[in-house]
Amino acid sequence: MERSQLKAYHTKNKAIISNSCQRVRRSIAAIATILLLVSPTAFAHKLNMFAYVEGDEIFAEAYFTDGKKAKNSAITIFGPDNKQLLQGISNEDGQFTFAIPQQSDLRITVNAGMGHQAEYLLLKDEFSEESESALTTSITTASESVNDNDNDNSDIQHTEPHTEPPRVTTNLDNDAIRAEVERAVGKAIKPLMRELSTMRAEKSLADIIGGIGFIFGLFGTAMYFKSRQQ
Amino acid sequence: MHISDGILSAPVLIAGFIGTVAVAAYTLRQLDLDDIPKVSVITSVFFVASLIHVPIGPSSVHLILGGLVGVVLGIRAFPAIMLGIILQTILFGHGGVTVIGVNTMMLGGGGLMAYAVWQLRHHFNIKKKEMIFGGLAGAMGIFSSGIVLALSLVTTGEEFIATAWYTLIAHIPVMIIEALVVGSCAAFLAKVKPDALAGQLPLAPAVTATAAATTKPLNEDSPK
Repeated sequence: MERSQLKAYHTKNKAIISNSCQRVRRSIAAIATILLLVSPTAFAHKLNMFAYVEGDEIFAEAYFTDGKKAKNSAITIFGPDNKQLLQGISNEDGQFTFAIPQQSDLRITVNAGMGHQAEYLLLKDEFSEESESALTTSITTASESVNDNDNDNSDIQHTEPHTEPPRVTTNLDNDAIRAEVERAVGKAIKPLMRELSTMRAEKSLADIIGGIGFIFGLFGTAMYFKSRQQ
Repeated sequence: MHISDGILSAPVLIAGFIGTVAVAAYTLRQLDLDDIPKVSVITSVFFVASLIHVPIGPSSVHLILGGLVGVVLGIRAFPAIMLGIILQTILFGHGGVTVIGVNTMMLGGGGLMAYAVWQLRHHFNIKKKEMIFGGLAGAMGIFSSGIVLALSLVTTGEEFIATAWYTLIAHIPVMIIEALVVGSCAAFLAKVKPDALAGQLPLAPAVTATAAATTKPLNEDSPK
């Protein structure tokens, strides 16, 4: 199309355009608000993983933030010197369980293909015995703080912290009980770990608004400097 | 469609950064004062697009909208997508800091390819060509990003053809959704505010001597 023709076309449409300008602006504002409201929590396809020690095994789980499990994904465990210790494939639920390969910091990575990779650092003291009592006390405080706003589970929350610590101190030499406690603690923190890793993956509204503000601010600054040049 | 940290090797990451800086430097020079408000609005749209879920069966996909950015901004799509990716990385943890270059080449390149497809409409004289070519551009944005994704994964030792097929098949739903979104956006804008769309005139190389003779100042941009 030639320039002159275009111009004619544009002038012809000018009335419509000026009218619709308002409408476009309004609809942009509407779309922006909808975007902000719709955007729920997280990216559909961000890969997350978490892992914890359960007895003498390590349990790892990988999932996408929309809840889909990262099944049949390559899971690799690295030692502290980036040496590959173990390799495996996650099961249908995106889970992978393996025996502790060595008592050191472990880096667990999962690759779900198409450029999706996540990693989780499992620190050495998470499988040493001393950390156990620390873990139970942290659970105690956590469940007590939960208690304040959650009355339904109050009996369960109360019995756990009161019964467990004495058991740990009195029967520390008893392997069977220790293993039992380890399992129980592992079970108790499982939902907590899950919650934590979901929370970490969540995007807050503040991030979204902040990002948009950042974009406008940056372009506004660019515009200011450009307009001074002219 | 973002590559995470820790997958690609250093040479690929560096090549991504170099390519991104080069293309961004070139395209930013084309940025006029009047374009800036439009670019910033579209950058914001791109930035939040990946938060919009479209449920498909048990799973869901999220929009990318590299094609829409290309259709509306032309070659300015590249810096817009770059800024969007940087912010997505910093604020949402999507992708990773070391892969910003590669991710920008992937999605920004998709935006540029979408623009190229969008410009082909000048060679056709059919009804609803904004709708059709907008849709094609939307699909093209995803398609070429998928090719770049497969290419960069090849460097990690994955086999190209298989990876490319896998990537493209996995993105077919997104391609269809983006084609619909971009096509209807382009048709709507062509009706109510045609100068909001990029490339009112054919791309410079595509213009033959006759057309070049009649139109003196030939930018890819719309006449002001």
